[in-house]
Amino acid sequence: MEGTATLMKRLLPQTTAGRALAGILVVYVLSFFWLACRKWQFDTGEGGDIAVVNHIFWSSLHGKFFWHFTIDRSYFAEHQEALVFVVWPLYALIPDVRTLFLVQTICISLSGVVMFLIARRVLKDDLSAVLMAVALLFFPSVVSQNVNQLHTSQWVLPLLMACFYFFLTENYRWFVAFCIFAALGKENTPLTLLVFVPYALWKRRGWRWWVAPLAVSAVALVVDFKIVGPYFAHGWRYEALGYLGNLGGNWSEVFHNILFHPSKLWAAFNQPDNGPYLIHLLQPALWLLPFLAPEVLFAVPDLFVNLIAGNNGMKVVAWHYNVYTGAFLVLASLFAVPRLEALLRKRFGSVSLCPVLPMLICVMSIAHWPFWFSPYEYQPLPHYDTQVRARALIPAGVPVLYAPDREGAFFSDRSKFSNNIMVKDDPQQMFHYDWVYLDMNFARMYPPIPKSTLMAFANNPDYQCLFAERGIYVFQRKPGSLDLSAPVAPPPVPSGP
Amino acid sequence: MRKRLPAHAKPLAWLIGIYVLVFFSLACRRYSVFGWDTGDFGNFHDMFWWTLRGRPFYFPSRGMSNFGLHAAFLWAQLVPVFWLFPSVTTLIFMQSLFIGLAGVPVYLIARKLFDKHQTALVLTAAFLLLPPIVSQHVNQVEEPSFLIVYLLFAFYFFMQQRFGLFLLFAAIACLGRENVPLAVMMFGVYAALQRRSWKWIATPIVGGGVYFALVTFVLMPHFRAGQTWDVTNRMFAYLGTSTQAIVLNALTRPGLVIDHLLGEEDVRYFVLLVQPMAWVLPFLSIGSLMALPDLAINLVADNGALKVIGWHYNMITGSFLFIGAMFGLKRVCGWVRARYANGSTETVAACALLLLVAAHWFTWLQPAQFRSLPYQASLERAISAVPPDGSVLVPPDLQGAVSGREHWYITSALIQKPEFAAQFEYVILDANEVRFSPVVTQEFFDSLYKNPRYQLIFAERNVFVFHRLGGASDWKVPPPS
Repeated sequence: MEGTATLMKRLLPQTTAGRALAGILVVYVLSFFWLACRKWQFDTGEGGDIAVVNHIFWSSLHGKFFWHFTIDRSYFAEHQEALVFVVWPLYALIPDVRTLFLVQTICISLSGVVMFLIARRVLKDDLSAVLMAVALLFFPSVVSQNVNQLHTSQWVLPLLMACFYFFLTENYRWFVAFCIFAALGKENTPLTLLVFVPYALWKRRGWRWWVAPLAVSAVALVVDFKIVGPYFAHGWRYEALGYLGNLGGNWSEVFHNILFHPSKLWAAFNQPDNGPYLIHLLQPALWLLPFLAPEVLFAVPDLFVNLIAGNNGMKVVAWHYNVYTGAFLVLASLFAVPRLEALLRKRFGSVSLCPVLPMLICVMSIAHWPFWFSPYEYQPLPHYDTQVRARALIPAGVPVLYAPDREGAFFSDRSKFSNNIMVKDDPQQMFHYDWVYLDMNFARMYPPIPKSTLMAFANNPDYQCLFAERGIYVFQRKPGSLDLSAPVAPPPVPSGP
Repeated sequence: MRKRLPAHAKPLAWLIGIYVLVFFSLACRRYSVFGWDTGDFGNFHDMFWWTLRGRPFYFPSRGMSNFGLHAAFLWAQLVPVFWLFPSVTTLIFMQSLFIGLAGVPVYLIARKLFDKHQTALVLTAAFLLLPPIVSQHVNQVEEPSFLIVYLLFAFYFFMQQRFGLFLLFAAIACLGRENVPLAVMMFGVYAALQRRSWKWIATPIVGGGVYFALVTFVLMPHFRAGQTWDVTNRMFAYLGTSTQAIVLNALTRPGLVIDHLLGEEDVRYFVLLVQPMAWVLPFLSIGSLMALPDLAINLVADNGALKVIGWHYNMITGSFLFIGAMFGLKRVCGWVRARYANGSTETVAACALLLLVAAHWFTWLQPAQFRSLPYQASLERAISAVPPDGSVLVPPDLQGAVSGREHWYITSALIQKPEFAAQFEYVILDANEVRFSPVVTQEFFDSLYKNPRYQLIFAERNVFVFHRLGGASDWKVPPPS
């Protein structure tokens, strides 16, 4: 009993700074969990990815192996993430979208703990360490992930940060262990892990410090792209490759163009969206400050991919493509503080940047909330009550066709559901669903819901309109109007993002 | 003369000189590419144009003296310059110059506060880049830009305890706009909190109060010559439509005001306003007191325009919040120095504030407004197609370009008050423009194109000029209210 008490006491923060950070983290997790739930509940943001991630867990509890409904095959065909097995028991315990929101927010906040530990070692100042942790927690590309649907990149973030921490503290075993854990995350993680190779060489560490991440990354890449992915893909084309479509149609073309066609690479870098993207990304980290430290290398792999990608979505700071980049920019800023201090001391004599510079980094991170936060997303829409009443008409588990795409977040806990884009607004495919939910209030969304889709159901004698209010329509197939045992054509597989 | 200049004047002059030139260029660019609404460029250009033609400070868009709208007698200081160089560009340059010169008192205040040249210089740069200040270069031409330098000098002499000079500059500043005396009155409160003698407390309060009453109840109504002043009912509609009702409701039903203050628009405005000063710095000292009257008006008002950081309603507020932030910064530095035994804190902290302020460009700068339109040349040719003295209706972004003539107005008049619009000889339509209403739809275009009273005389890249047939107008129909 006494031993347990001692262990518990050891786990609790021992210093004032540690206790302050713990308090901040509790408030952070509760606030962002609440905000994420609110945004989802009020249907004020995108919901397509919530539907995908929720369904892969839901399906695994209902006889399918982590099913990705939009590609109609296992999720591992697209993302080879063994980490889903770690989260799965939690979801099995409380099978709800909100469980995943909570996991997401906890992962982000844990990365703040690791940042605190790193900062305390680097800056040797508790207040500055707390400020740097808060800077990471509120860095636009990181904090936005609390409320940007559901994505799995966030799960890896504390693991990657822990890799760095154990590298810094020269704890080899834990370093290797966390490299392996991190490599179980999204398939782009090994690229970031690979940066430990040049970093270890830079730091003149022994061979084992660079061989381990090299081996882990290489094995992870081979397993992901040569074994697991193809096994589950059944001939399906790796979707993320479409993001680099401007550089080629397959991996060999992409690499060939990157390595041997500088003009194509240059054109990719020169895309008009890259300028604003870089400004938005770098400004909260004080523009060039991260580049004063070699640790900025860890931000490079994802940053490089985002810059050359033809998909503009990767250049949106508040989306999940910038989680690692953002976190490592903050980390690099942290290492830049003592470096800049040393530089200034050479020029001006006695200069101390702590805690003012960490304070500035922290304030800059928080101050850029307009890049990702819009208060309107946390208030109910004018037709919220109507939405709730309309959705309540649709029984649990029945096949549903819905539009727009964002509504998928509310229908992903059933085995058959689809949106109008997946069935290409084609009546032959649309009429295979017993229930239809159309919310025509999102006129500015792209692609808009064709009026013909609504009219197709309104004019189909096999369907009856149960609900039509404030632009929201619910249709139900009349009993016995279609032989449901007839084979249903699978939804077409989207060819790109 | 050169020997008498202090050593620190040179870098300050360089800073202000470069600042003025850079932002003057940006302002000219935005104006010349029709980057946004140029209504006030046109209105104030006209005001000087009419002044040189014997109708002092006449504001044609309202049909009365500008002094009926705002007690901005300080415009008079620009008349000689405009007489020498009569153009919108002159007004833009003078505005940039006056904003730049506001850096001088800020430098002097910072220098007195921190007793360090570099720190003061960095803080001056931070002030000049503060969103409510810097945005005024690339806003339009507005009164607060020309008065703030005087008000800041008043603060400097208040700090220096030089009563005569304080009064002089406060009095000049009061001539800038009718809300300035309210800020001046706060100097009295500041003096009281500092336990200064009675003359420091009473003079600003009594002087400011009397002048405020004089301009609001005597001078401005005189210049309005019986016309209504629509500011009150446009600004506080949720409290009432008359001054009496507004004050009564604000006092007897404070819940209304509190609900309004806690609304999303007010919270967002307030956070973005103080954010470049790390949210709390302005409130760590009483140096921000002079910001309170305008801040209170902007917060309590339900007119969203007052809460736009990049518009001119925040210049006095921004300036004095920054003064308060400098005092606050000194406090924080004292705390850091005591804890960290760090001698360089003040300069480092000033640099940090400068970076934080500069990073807030996104609250006022919209790069798209500085890009040349693809059909820029067509717009310019369309303007040239209208004779220099011809009366013309134009889209909001072309107002400045056609000002300096007797009659011009915006195309919305065609919908708002067709009988007024029918008096104009020319109409310029830009069917590419979707930022302003009315958007030129086929129906709107046809209302002129198929109208036998109008003849299409220019058509290029969706830019059209129509000429009204028939004789000259008698201009009996007044503009839309």
